[in-house]
Amino acid sequence: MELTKALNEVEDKIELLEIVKEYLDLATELCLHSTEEELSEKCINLIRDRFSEVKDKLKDGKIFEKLLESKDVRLLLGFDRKRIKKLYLKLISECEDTILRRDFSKESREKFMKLYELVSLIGEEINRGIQRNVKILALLAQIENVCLVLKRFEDFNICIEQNSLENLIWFARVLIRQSTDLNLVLTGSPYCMEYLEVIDIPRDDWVGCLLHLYKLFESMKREFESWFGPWQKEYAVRDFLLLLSVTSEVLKNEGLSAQNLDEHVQIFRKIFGNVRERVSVTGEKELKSLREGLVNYLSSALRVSRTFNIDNEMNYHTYIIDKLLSSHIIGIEGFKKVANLYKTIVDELIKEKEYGDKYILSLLRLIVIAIIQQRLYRAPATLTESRFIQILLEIIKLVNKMCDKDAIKNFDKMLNYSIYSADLEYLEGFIDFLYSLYLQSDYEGFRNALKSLNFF
Amino acid sequence: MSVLDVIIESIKEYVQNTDIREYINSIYEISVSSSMIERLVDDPRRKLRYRERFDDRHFIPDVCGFFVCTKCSESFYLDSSGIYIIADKIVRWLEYLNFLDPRILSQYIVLHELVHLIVHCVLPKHVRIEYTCAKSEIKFYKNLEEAYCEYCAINALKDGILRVLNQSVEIQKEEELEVALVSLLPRPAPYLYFKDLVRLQGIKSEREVNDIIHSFISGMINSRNQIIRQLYSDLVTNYIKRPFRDVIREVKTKKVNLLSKVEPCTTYDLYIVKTK
Repeated sequence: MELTKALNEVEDKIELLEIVKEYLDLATELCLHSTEEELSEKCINLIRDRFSEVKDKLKDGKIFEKLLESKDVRLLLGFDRKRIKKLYLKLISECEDTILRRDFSKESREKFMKLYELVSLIGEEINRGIQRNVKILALLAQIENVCLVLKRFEDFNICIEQNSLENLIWFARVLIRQSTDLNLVLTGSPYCMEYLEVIDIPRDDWVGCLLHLYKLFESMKREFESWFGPWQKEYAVRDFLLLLSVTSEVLKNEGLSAQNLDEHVQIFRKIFGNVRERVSVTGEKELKSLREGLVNYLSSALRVSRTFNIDNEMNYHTYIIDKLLSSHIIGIEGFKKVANLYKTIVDELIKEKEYGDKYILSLLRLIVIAIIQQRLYRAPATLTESRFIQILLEIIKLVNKMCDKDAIKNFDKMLNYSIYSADLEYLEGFIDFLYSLYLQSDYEGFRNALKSLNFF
Repeated sequence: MSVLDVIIESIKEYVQNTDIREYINSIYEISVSSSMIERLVDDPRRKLRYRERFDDRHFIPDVCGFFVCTKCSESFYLDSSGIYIIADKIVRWLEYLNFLDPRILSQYIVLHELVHLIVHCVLPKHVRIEYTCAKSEIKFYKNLEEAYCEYCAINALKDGILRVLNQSVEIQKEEELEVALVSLLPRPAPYLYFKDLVRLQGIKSEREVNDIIHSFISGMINSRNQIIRQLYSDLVTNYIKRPFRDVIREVKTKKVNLLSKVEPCTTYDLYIVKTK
């Protein structure tokens, strides 16, 4: 099930979490120590007691005046004073009726919720006693949901203490706010009209999903916070969400199930961490570039590791990224460029099962060397241009398909020499020469050049 | 742990845990004044600077370390023979190029100097002084031994074995990208000729490279005077850059017999030098 569905209306659920937090003892008593039949009975009794305490106060003219002054209430019930009063009083009498009939149906409970919503709109302007009782009424009306919340806490082994609940609520709030800021569809809420990608987490209930994300975040919190410092906790959630969305898209690109999301989040987090720690992002454009770079890079790396069964591929990429980002050799755009070049290489060579893996890593190393040489020693950028990489890929394919073992061996020798000795000028000349023979369709010359290697 | 500490520890560990220990008697950490350090490394800088091809961006291995045999050459400042690694100079490089692994750069410098040590010690004892003197008489950028040290050290990091003429020393293999990053450092001549040696190894063989170096050493020793030495070193340097095979064959040089094993003139220690 998609997270969008699972977390549907999650903002309302946070209100519920708030209620659980505030009346934890009561909720725990009701939910965890009562059977289903007892629960309804206990709830209706409690509702009756609370309601009788506030019923007359709610009908007080002062409260009605406050309701009329509230823009939010008028937006909800219209601008006709008489109509508002009529609807409001009708709601109170319907709640009374529900209690008399000892009705605990869904429809009846919704009436108490409606009353709670209405009163909470003027919450700060009415006395605390009324507020408290109306909140308890709302809690009791949502008791099934509350049960579910508490049961899910149990399932996930989350200690229901005020502190952890507070942290969870904080996390949920930031998660939702950041998903809006990042333009990510997380909640399916109508506020996200434009979005980049959907995070796909297979959970069948919103609390489970939220707890799952929370637990995952907690397991990596220290690491995330270390990138920014604990005083910037919100950034940690933001990055966690970014990693989640990148991982989700990589899995989708590679046709993998979202069931493995956690596992891949753990695999990608070091690479992601290396990038985030060293690259500063300002503005939406840079964020988009970073995300695109990460998706391209990780998709390619994952594809290589799966196609050629390379177990430690990601460790190697952590190392590569570390090298590239040390000394601030590259920024976001540079990283995006490397990711795109790497993707070009992987897209082409992944098709060549017999020899592809031999060159993928070599060419990645080549890019790293070329970029460092370009940035630090102002060498020409030719080798990091996609045209050169395309030509190099063409030549690699041609050599491996058209030449005999000795010529292939010589070509590999030349490539290895250029990389080990960082002699990129030589490589460029060599590839240009081979390419000119190819353009002239001088295949014999091409083969002979590699066979004799006399220009080496 | 500071970068300086990482360098010192990794050098010690490297020497103690590999076959390099066979060539080193003891390891010492010594602290000297910064002016003394400058005096120690001034020689290679001076040798290069006069050619006006050297600037601060160039990586000069011999500024980070050097080998000295006090039995065969005079040193104004040093009494003890061995390899000197100037840890502070490596730190300075790493500040500028922190994509390099401090451990690998330090090991690389040790390997470069070890090649000098081995070359010195496989020559017959009676020609060592002569060769040391001959090298100092030719223009520094024609000293092919420096290129050979680079060539051997790069190959050693790549293969996990340091092969110098007829000797081989087991070390540890390093990640290919690290090797490439060390190669990437911009060097002035003669260090940069290591690429020509690697290429020659690619077309022909390692034996061919060793043969060239052997010829170079022999030519230096057998040359009667400074002018012939210059001409000879020119010829060999050009040979590795361009196919002057036929020309070099015409120059008859009796090759010096190399010893089958390393025979030090005295005990060689490893000195890790840092600023006081």
